[in-house]
Amino acid sequence: MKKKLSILLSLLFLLPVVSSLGGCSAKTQVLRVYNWEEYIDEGGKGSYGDDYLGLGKNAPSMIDDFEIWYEETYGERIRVEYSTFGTNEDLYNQLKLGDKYDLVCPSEYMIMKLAAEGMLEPLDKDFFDETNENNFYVNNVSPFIRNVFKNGEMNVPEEKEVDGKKVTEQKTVLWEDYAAGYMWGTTGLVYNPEGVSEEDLSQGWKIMLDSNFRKKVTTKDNVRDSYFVGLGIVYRDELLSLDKNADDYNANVTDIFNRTDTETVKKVQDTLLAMKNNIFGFETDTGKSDMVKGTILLNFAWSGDAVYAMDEAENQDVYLNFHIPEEGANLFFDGWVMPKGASKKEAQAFINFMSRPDNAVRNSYYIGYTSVIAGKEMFEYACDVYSAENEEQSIPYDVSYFFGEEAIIYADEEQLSRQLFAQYPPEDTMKRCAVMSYYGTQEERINELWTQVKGEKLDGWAIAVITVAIVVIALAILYWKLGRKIEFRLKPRKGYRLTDQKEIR
Amino acid sequence: MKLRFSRKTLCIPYAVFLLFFVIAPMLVIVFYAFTDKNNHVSFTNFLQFFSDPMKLSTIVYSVVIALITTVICLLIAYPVACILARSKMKRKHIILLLFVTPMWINFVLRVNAIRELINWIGLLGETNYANTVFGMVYDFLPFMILPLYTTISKIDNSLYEASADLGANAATTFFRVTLPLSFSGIISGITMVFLPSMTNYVVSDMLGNSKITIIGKFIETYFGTDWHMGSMIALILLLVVLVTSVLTGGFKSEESVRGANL
Amino acid sequence: MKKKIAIKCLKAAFIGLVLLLLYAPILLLAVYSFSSTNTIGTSGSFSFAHYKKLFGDPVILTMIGNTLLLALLAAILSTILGTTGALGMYYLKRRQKAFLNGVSQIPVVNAEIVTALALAIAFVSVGISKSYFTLLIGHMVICTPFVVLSVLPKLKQMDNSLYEAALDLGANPAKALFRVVLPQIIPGVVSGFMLAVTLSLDDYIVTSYTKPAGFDTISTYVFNATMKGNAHTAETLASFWALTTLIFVIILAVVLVANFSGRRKKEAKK
Repeated sequence: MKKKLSILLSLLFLLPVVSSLGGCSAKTQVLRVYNWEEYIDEGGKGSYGDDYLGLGKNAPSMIDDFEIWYEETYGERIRVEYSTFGTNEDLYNQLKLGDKYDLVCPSEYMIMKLAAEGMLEPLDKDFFDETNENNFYVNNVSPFIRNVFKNGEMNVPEEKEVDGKKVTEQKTVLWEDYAAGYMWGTTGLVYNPEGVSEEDLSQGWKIMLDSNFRKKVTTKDNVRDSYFVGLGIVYRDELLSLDKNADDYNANVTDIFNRTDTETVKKVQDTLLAMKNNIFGFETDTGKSDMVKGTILLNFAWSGDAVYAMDEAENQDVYLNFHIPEEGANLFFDGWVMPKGASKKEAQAFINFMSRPDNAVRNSYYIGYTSVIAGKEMFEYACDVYSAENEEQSIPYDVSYFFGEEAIIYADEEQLSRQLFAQYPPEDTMKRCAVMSYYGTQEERINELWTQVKGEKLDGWAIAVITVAIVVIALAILYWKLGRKIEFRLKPRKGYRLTDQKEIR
Repeated sequence: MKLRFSRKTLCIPYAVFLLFFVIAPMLVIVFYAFTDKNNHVSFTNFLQFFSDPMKLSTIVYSVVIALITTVICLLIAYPVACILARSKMKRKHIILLLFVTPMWINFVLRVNAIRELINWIGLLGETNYANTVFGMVYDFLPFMILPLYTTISKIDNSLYEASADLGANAATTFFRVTLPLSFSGIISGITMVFLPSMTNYVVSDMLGNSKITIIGKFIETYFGTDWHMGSMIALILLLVVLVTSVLTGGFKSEESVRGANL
Repeated sequence: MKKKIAIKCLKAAFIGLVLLLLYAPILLLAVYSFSSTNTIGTSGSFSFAHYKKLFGDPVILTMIGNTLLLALLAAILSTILGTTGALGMYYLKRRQKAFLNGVSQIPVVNAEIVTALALAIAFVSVGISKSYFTLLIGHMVICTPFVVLSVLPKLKQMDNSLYEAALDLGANPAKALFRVVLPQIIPGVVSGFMLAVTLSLDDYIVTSYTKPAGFDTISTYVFNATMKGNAHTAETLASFWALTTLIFVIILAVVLVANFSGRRKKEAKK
């Protein structure tokens, strides 16, 4: 028996060794990519909608394509290990716990947070070499997006030697130094024009507080999006009073939407608490279907989600629109970054492959979000999707700011407030879209705000009463149990007596 | 060292397993709970927790919701388990299986479906608390039915006959025979329902439209940003639960369960 | 006589009602699995699209296979571990038993994120990287306590004297255990096993923190898709309705078959 046991135990200890051996393979490079669920075209038989790309039912996965392309271009074999995560916080936790990845795709604020904690590798200088034809990213990224990345700043820790001692200082770098964009969008309101008028919309974000839309409007169940809405409401007057034609209009809007001082936080908290009673709820993913079904009339949405909602609604003969409030909205993006210790060459090759215009079109088509990549194929794709059938009744929609050169889509008039608007808002609208940075040192305080908003507030007396009640019940149970145990020896149950007793006590 | 094989030693594999994969990790959590951001020992998390009325309120709310859920579960599961266990049907195992298999369908999908049902009735967004409780009961019912069924089915039939012979009516039989003998099943069931219902926030998110926050959601949120506070809340929850289980199980004497309390 | 029948009817009705309530959402999913739409609540036409996607997409099939295999493995291992644990625990002295019982409850009681993170940190600090092994361990940690919780009550109800009798009759302790004790607790073991399967199938948090790269279960997919979904995730989610319906149909079939085979046995006896 003992022998069998020891054999079993030793086998058990061998298991981890055996299983981790699985990854060994001499010649093939391994690239570990960590991305959102279904965020690249993984091929397979189910393609969304009609077969636009003509790839057929057995469309290959982008990952397989990459492996083939990489071998053709660089002469080395590569294997991609592709994993997925659900939230930025999950990604952060996994990285913090020591998971090794070569390429991850966080949202903008998480990129800043990872950078601030020194967890990222910078992009190589020759990643931006425009003469290299394989550098698809730098050659095809939209100048508008490139500009955003060039103007964005964040801090990374840098170790220096000062007077012989090792000191960690904060160095300011550009977003572009560490990140390459993948998908981008804005936030806004999806609304049902049959229940919401233009006049209603002129309230901007304050519509969340409008009792006419009580239980008919939703916001997102996360602190950042809700904080943004709160800022929009609190500083509405200030935002509307800014000079829209000034050069620094966008900078001013960005400043306001990045306020995290104590007073601002307090005001936003009060606003959100007031909002909480008026909204239908905080949603993460049910908003799309609720809009389509008509359960709610307005829904705070990311533009990619908005496009999906509008598409689904069309299938049901319901027509929804998208609106970016006057005060401003959030410009967000998901970007590729390399965690410390990544295989940079392979990772950057992956980014470039994804940025090749035809691949970017594939991904965009598959996911429904807007790619940062401009370029001829992307423009043609946009035209294919949005060009009006009747050219005479079409309206010129200028997207030159995004595509770099003269680019006009002749679209149906209604697209001015629908999918086209959501995917490529006009240049004017983009001026009031701001990136909300990582909160940095204020992160804790703003998370506290969220706790206060989401939590259940009981009045002091209610807490006291309930606690006392629970304690009393607990004591009663204790007494009953202990009492019975002691009394069991002395006092029999009612109606019975011990055999040596003459009387019932 | 020669290990004498007695029945006791059977638990050694499990004990070792617990040591490595439960106790050791918990020590890590304790470490995080009592340290601050710089990994210095500190009690700030503890103090912060108790000085925040919001967090305290949330715990109380969660406990209340969990209690209501557990009680309703018990009220529904007990008759079901009783009827099933005492029935003379040859195929009652199959019906038991019917109660358990909804659990095999992915939870998120089921809650989504419940949400649609409630929406169809028109109550979505109106009665968040009732919806949440309903969803939780739905989710945890099978967990309550199973242990109750196994304990009730083991009760010796002759005890019922004896009680009838002694002149007890149905009610008395129930309270004096069935209930006490199924006590350990009740405790098992409560354990499997009460505690998870305080930490499972998916239901309150989906059915209460995230307007209702349970302590489990807090812990989840905190682990996205501040592991220390998250660990502290988790520890406090653990404490609440340990106290509860001590009250309900710790003092139970073995002997009183073996026979009937006649 | 009438009263007896009435009570019987009431009992049956009650069980039927609870069953109906339990299966109502599943029936809803079943109805929509035959619709063309990806959103419950919207109207669509009759279509097998979801079923086609379910059986046609190798990624989905792999996911389902992974989930099932993992659940079975984890459940079997947990049941063995838990049953031996419960058996041993039952015969321990009071204090030791209380201690072990308490520790055993910790994964049940803890918020899953805590268990998951604690495990992940522990693995990392010892240098074990995430693999199928860590995933199995993770699932066993959450499943085994439930097995113990199912088996212990049965042990408490067991008649101890039978074991002693077996020993008196000359059986050695191992034999006595297998032939006498085990059969008495089988219902507890079985229900523990079923609980373990359920927990493993549904689990998300522990899975996502202990799984190796590239591995997906139904739960991790569904949760991740819920967080940031798009048209494709909606489609895959909808194909899971088809899966649900199929499971439901299989269960029904099993029930009916078992029902009828039982009857046939009775008739054969006659």
